[in-house]
Amino acid sequence: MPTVIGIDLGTTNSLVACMRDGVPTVLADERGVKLMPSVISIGEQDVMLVGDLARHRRVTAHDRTVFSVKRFMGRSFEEVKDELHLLPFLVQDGESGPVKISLFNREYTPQELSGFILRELKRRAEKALGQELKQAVITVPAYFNDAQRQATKAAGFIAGLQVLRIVNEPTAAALAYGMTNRDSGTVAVYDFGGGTFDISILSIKDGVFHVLSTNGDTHLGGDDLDEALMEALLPSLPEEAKDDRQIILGVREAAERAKCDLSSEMQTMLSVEVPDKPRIELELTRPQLEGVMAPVIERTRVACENALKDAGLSAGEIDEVLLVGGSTRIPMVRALCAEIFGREPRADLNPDEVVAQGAAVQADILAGGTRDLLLLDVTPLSLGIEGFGGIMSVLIARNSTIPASATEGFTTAADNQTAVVVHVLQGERELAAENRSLARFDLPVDPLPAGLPRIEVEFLIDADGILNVTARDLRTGKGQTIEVVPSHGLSEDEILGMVKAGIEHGREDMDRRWLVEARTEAEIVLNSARKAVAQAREAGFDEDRIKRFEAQLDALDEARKSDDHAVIRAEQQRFNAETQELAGDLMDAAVKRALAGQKLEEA
Amino acid sequence: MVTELAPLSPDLDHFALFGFDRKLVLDSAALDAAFLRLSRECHPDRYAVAEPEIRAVAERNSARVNDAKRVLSDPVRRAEYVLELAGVERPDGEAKCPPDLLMEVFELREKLMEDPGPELVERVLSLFADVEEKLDGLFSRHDAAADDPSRLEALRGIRETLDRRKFLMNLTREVEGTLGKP
Ligand SMILES: Nc1ncnc2c1ncn2[C@@H]1O[C@H](COP(=O)(O)OP(=O)(O)O)[C@@H](O)[C@H]1O
Ligand SMILES: [Mg+2]
Repeated sequence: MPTVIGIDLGTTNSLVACMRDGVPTVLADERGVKLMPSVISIGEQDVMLVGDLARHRRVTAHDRTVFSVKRFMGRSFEEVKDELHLLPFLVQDGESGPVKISLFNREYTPQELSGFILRELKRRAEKALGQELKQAVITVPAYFNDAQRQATKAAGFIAGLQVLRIVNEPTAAALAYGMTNRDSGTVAVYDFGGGTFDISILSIKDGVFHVLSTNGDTHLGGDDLDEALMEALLPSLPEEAKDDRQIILGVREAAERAKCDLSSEMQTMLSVEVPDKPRIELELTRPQLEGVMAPVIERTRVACENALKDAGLSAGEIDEVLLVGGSTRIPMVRALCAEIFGREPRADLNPDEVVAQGAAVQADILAGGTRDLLLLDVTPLSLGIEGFGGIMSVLIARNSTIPASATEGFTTAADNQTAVVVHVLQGERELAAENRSLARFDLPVDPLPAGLPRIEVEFLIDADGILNVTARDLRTGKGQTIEVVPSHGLSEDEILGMVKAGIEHGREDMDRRWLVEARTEAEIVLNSARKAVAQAREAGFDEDRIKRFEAQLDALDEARKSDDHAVIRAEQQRFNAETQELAGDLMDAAVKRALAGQKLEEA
Repeated sequence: MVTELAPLSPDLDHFALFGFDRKLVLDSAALDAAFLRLSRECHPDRYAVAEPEIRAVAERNSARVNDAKRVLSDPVRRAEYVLELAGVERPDGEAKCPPDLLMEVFELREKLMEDPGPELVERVLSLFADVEEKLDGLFSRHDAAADDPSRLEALRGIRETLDRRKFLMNLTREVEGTLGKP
């Protein structure tokens, strides 16, 4: 039985996990780090850096680095254009195709960029497990629509993975929870991450995980909190800073850092650090932050209420509330959650890892390992077609258990008409134009007098939550499958082209990759160490020791120029070992702040 | 790995698929149990690593089970479905508001404009309760019918009462829209 991996492809962080001896286990990288930042950066010699290394280049190499790509998956330019002004990279209209994201000297689709993240996770898992891996389960926000799911699946293929299933993140979390808590009951999963918010309500009984309802917002997360804080800070910044993309990025980093600090502290110093620019420092208290965040966090309430209503339950009938996602560490979020459901949420789950663990469980179910669990999920949005007068006629209602299907008959209005246009929609609004247009396709018909052709179309939402369309001519009995390319999506041919490019990319020169990775890592360490040195000097730290430390730094800098990655790694290790104590003292010398968030080992 | 999977027979109606008689009063626990049994058999998760053709059959079979469950677990949709199976149609083809209800609705609407008070909500709710009660009676009559003619008679009554219910639903919505949810 080949191993199937489970992947949590997050807006901010991604993880890979698999089942090991009956336990869902998140796989770490060589340094023991499990969370991989969903950041991509083009390094020296055009080597694509993904994860921690790329994350550290967000400010220093801002013109070669992109992040939060998941926000663009399956979205049209129209849908995302209002949020682009706070992002440092260029996003362009892809017309009928996906949006195009500029990264250094090329444009990429969000599918390709997510593909890079998935490929890196695959590589990490292969290294950890010592075997080649080909199949995966990938999680998505429950509230993702058809186009967003298709985009995720395409990203998997581009990364060289056969995607056995797209699983909803809150459902995966419930699965991981239910593995260890075998009681039956009704649970609410509140998943508030970096870019999206989901609420799902499930009943768990005798190994059956039955989703009763789901609701959410695919554009609501920690990013929005950062941005709200940024907007609030902009007036207090020096005038010349406001148009500087690099400073804006520095503000974003500082805002996020301060936000996280204030989950455990009551006040903090927000400090904006950009290379070669004066440092900007501002005091920030938790109540101040809460004032800025409140309207954003409050938006999760109505989704919870709608989910309860659709499940036909009152808040009092929920037995457990599970918190998932980094943003649920915010005290204000926990308080709101407790208020909505009238009970304290469970605090014993790891909000970062539980989705990946659930994905590993689902992967094992699909591989045939775990046999006693059954997952019954739902479609988050109603599916319909445009009918007379631009009204959406619903074929499959939201929260229907998937797979689900519906058939609809079509005929012609004019003589010798050779095609009927079918416009497929997803959403809850009455007017077709106010819902997401999934696809518009021509149904071929034989030329006959009006009203004579009788075509039966079956709409099937599969277990991935993705639409499949087949048509049958009732007169001839001829059937056909219709390829529904979602609006702003990729066709099968386009995906195949990218898969091919991916295979070539997979054959890249590994020595070169290792070299660039080693150099980048050394560079990051050097940057933060130099900053520490400058601050230690200011603070009047023992100059002799600083000199000795600087000598070590120069040695590492020299080694960094080597063409052999092993040499750089060895020097880096030596440097780390020999300067550990000194670095600790440097930090203690009132420079803690300067190093916070720059700790590569722990990031 | 599974190498063969037959599509569920298209000749089975929703009731037969679940192993039930064509009854309008259903035990929901029995329905849930049958649904789980079928789901465990059909769900695509069981066939995820099989050939694409088999996966496609599993998706369709599972959709069939889920679609049937959706219809069977809702008394109104279940009844509509039985009417469809029995080929019972409306006397003149389309749903019409029964005359007595039309009068009632007319009056209620007028009151709603003049004096929207809580008694109005009461009135609508009680009309609604009447319809539900009548439906329950007809459902039992249908299930107990000894022969085809008496079953057909029950179904005709159900057809009319379901339409009545629908008009009342619209009215309820209107009242709720004006007064807020009771
Ligand atoms: N201690 C904390 N306090 C507040 N927010 C936090 C904390 N830790 C992480 N976050 C936020 O959580 C988000 C990332 O959560 P994560 O679940 O990894 O997101 P995603 O699944 O979308 O990738 C980020 O916006 C980050 O700022
Ligand atoms: Mg997440």
